[in-house]
Amino acid sequence: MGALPSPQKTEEQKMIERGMESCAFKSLIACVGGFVLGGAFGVFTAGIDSNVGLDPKDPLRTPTAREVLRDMGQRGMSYAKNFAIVGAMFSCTECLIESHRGKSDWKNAVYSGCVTGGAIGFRAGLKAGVLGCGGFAAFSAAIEYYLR
Amino acid sequence: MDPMKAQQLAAELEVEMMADMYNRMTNACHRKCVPPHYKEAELSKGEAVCLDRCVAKYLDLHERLGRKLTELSVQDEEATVYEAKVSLEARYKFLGFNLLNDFAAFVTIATFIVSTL
Repeated sequence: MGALPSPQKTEEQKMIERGMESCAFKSLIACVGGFVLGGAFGVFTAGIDSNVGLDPKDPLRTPTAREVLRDMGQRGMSYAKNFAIVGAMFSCTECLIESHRGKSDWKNAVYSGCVTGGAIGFRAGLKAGVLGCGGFAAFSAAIEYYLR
Repeated sequence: MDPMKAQQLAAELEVEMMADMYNRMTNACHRKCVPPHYKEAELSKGEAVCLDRCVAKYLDLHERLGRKLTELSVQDEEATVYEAKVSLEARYKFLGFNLLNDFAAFVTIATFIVSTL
């Protein structure tokens, strides 16, 4: 009617685009991305902060390669799982809040940061939950400020 | 070809009305949902959701107001027709009364003239 002539999108393309915009897909992407990032981070910090193979009888023994690798794998997996969960939660809540508000600004990230931090910290009590909310919200706000 | 022409005219008016509504809806929803600072070319999720809601509300509003307007205009038309009918009846009654008066006057004068003859 008023738009410039453009090629019509097929039904499949519309469906794919709608799927890619959905909250579930976004949280899945964040989950996988968090997993990869957490794995890399865990492997990296295992090299720095190593406390493996500590034998109380012989504190100067160098750890075997197998022990080092196992430690790296464990830490990597642990960090990866944590990052994946946090990423998925953050992305999911941010998408839901944005869909509910109908606006796209920095407040969405702050609210969802509070929800995510609160949910993580709530397992250790109410005060930890409030602290987690505040901390994660502040972190989110800083990132949003940098990005915008 | 009056009904054909009337139909064609109605269709043209309808098309024009639809185009006007589309333009107004686009302007209003763009003003409400998309803030003027553009950081990326694609619509974000929040903006897309807002546009869906805006279009749905606009069309709902348009339909309801159209229905109410036709209702009111039908009522108005009926009231006008009723008023016209009532005034016409009153006029006929008045006319009838006047005619009766005139007829009575004529009869009186006629009898008077005949009686003097």
